[in-house]
Amino acid sequence: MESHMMADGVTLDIRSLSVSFRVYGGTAHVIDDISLQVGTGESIGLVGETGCGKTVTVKTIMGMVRRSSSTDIAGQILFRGTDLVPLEHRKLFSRIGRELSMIPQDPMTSLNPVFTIGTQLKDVIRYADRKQSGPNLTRRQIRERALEALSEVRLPNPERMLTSYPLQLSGGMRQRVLIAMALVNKPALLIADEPGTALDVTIQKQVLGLMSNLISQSGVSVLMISHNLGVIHEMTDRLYIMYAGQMAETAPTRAFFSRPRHPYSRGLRDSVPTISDGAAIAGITGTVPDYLAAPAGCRFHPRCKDADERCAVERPPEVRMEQAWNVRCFRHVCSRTRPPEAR
Amino acid sequence: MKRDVLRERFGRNWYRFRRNPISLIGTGMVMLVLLLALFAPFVAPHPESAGRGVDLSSSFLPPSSAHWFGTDEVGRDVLSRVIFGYRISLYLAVVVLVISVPLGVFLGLLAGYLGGWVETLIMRITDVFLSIPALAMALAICAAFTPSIDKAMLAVSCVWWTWYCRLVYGIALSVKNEEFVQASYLLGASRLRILVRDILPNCISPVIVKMSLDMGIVMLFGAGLSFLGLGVQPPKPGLGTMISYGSQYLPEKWWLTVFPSFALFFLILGFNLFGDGLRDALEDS
Amino acid sequence: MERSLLPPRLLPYTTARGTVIPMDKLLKIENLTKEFRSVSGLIKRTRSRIRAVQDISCEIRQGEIFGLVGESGCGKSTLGKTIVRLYRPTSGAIWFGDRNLSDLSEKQLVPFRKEMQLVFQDPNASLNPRRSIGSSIADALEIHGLTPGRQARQAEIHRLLEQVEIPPSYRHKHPSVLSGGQRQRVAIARALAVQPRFLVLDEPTSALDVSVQAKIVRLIQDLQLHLGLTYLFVTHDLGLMRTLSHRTAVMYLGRFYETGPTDRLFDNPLHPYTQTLLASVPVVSEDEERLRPEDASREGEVPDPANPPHGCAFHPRCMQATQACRVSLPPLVEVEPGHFVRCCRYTSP
Repeated sequence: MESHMMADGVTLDIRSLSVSFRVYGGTAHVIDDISLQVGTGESIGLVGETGCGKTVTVKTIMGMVRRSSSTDIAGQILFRGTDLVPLEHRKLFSRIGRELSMIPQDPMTSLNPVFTIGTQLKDVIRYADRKQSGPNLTRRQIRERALEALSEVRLPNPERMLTSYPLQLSGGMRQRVLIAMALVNKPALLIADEPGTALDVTIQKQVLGLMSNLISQSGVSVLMISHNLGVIHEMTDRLYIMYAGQMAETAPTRAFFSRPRHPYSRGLRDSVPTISDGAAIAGITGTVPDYLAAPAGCRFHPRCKDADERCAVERPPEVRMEQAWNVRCFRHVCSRTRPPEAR
Repeated sequence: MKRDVLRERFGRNWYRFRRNPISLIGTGMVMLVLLLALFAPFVAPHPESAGRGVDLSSSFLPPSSAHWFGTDEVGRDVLSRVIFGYRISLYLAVVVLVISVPLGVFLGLLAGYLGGWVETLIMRITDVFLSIPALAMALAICAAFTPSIDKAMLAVSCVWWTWYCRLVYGIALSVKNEEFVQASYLLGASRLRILVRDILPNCISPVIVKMSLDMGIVMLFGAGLSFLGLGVQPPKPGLGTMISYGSQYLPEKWWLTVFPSFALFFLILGFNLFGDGLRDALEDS
Repeated sequence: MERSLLPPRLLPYTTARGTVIPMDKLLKIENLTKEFRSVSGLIKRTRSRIRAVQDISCEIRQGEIFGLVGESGCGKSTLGKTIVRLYRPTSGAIWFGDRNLSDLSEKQLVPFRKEMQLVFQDPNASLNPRRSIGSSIADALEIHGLTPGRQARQAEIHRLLEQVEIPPSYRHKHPSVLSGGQRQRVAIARALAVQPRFLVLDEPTSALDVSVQAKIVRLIQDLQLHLGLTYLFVTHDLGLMRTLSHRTAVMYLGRFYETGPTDRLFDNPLHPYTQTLLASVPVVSEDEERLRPEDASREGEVPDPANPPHGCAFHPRCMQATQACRVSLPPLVEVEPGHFVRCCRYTSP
């Protein structure tokens, strides 16, 4: 899918973000100087495996991780110009709550089971309405907007859906409701947390197809978190590969998959089994590092076949390969002068 | 090797425990009480007051530097009696728990895991015991036989095991459907093995937490029975007994009631705070 | 990629009565059905009846990796668990050698627990969080008396952990301090402790990251070669199925709708549901996108297993459904050698 490429503005600009937690046993430096941009109208993928820090990143953006006696945050998170880091959770939501929305990961547990779909959806609409300029919409208008949102996500019989409870719906339907709730207030940035992960593959295809259409129709900027490379390939324009709290690579999606440059990215790509042949899948030796004693320099170096002495000591700089393609790896520092590698 | 792993786990829980100011306060209080009770004969200024030491010439003295808590109607030092009272309260609580916890846990495990008629039988018995107000049951037992501290403990135990039975029953019910129990079953484990090796370990934490929280309640219960004249009999310095006897001299000789009451309050609060802190620290699943 | 079956160098099976059976077919499933009923009320009225597994028949050859693929609710996990007698079948037979396992009592099953085991999907749930991993593995050895004494047992636990590439010094650790991949290795070690011939792997990598998954798959393949195991591999991940299994069966609502050699099934999917599955998997290259079949389904939900559609269960979502599909359930027919499909389009009237 192609959506509008980087237009005039940058919706989300994370600059040199670092987050550490003081816990039993020391300090865990979970996020180490990452930067990420989501341009207006772009769909960006944030790819990483368990423990890479993507959840902490999202929580920091949403204001759930804040500076405290046990948490240190450095850097900036600029959302349409406003730095979110110094803002307290409440302040953050009162400032930008309407412009930022999230589709949570698990549709089975993200809806409140004791309220109807209608109540929960109307709540979202009412909240935004009040935030804007005091309550403006009448109850009938709110209901109409809710019905409209439900039909946009192609749910059958929206009227009945309003009075249904989440338990009466299947996983795919609940996911559509969550999408409706996220898009109803026309946010500027949509954060999708592992979209489709909890769904069967045939249902996932339908839901992702729907999401894709709605996203390109509305022009909303998207930050999609996933460990599923296939979903990222199909849904995003650009991606960021995160490993152990560091940003390893960022590239345009389609081009990336034919030629991932960072050793970790390559390892990841080669670990995905294909349906077109039974080729062996590689895996990556070693395990994710302990954040209490993270490796110095490039955090991937203990697991990297191509690592040398520099990698263990210094943090590799970000090397610009092509337009919108950066790799943080010493191997690529001089490779701009080399011819492009064949796959 | 194993020691290192155990130290690590203990350390983690201890870290959580000591970060919580409430649990630290509670621990402090409990430690104080334990020390007092343990070393009562050495700590109490007038240890003979706990027994038969009477000194009618010093009866009804208000609190002073010689007698911090004053003296009672036969001249016994109230402070010393309170310290020995702690001994009695702790003894009561420990004995009750030692009887009721194993019994309750055993029956709860059986009922939860075996199901069928065993479950029905045990849970219905539990229901019967739970539907009789504990105090009434204890009163009945104590009144039927000559009241004494042993009968009081027996009475409380008769009622107390049911709570542990219910607790463990609930845990056993949910744990028996867990996949690791299925895995053990698949390996060919006998039911006994599954009960002891898989289900029981999951019950230990909640039982320990409940025990520490129960200490306070059991002691209060025992004091309540003593207050009514059915538990600790004079001249033994049970806290409830002291409060009861002292209450007839209110409000002029206030120290006879106030200090034992406060001591009881301190005791129970300490265990409650300790228990709360323990529960928060052990909440690791 | 050529994946050959293991040569029949594997040991024949000696039954309790002393008969020796060559065992090229390790397991023969005949008309296996597993039904779950929920009852309510004092008179135990049946409230709903779910046929998780309906009338399944197949053979699993020694040394092969037989794959079961399908979406949630299709019954693949239930089938795997029923075969190893975690559940008792409602009807049908499970032939292991000369014994039918479906009618055996708990006690009679104990010797068979050494022959077949199952690795659960979620290693967080299948390992007791309150026990050290060594203790969990020791259970297997103690129950069947496989080691005479503590020393021998420790040594065996040592060996089992090494076999799954876990440092033996970890044996006192609890699952909570291990990573997901390590936990699953421990679960595999425990299952292998009784030295089974047959192992059901129930979505063993679903809960794991893709790079960890690849390593576990490698381990599973290595173990098969060294130990001469036979696997029933259950998954919803088609790519994984292609990489690992020799034969594949596609399950939908309790039945097989297509079975066959993996490469044939993937390169030439006959059933519309198989085609839909292959068309829906998110892929990472344009080549794969080009090579795969068209989606053969229309928008719709997976039906409720308690209320399955009449006839062919896929017909409500099938773009090529005909009247015949609604009426009767087509049988499995062999379209090419070893490749069976259950679809009206292939059944001659």
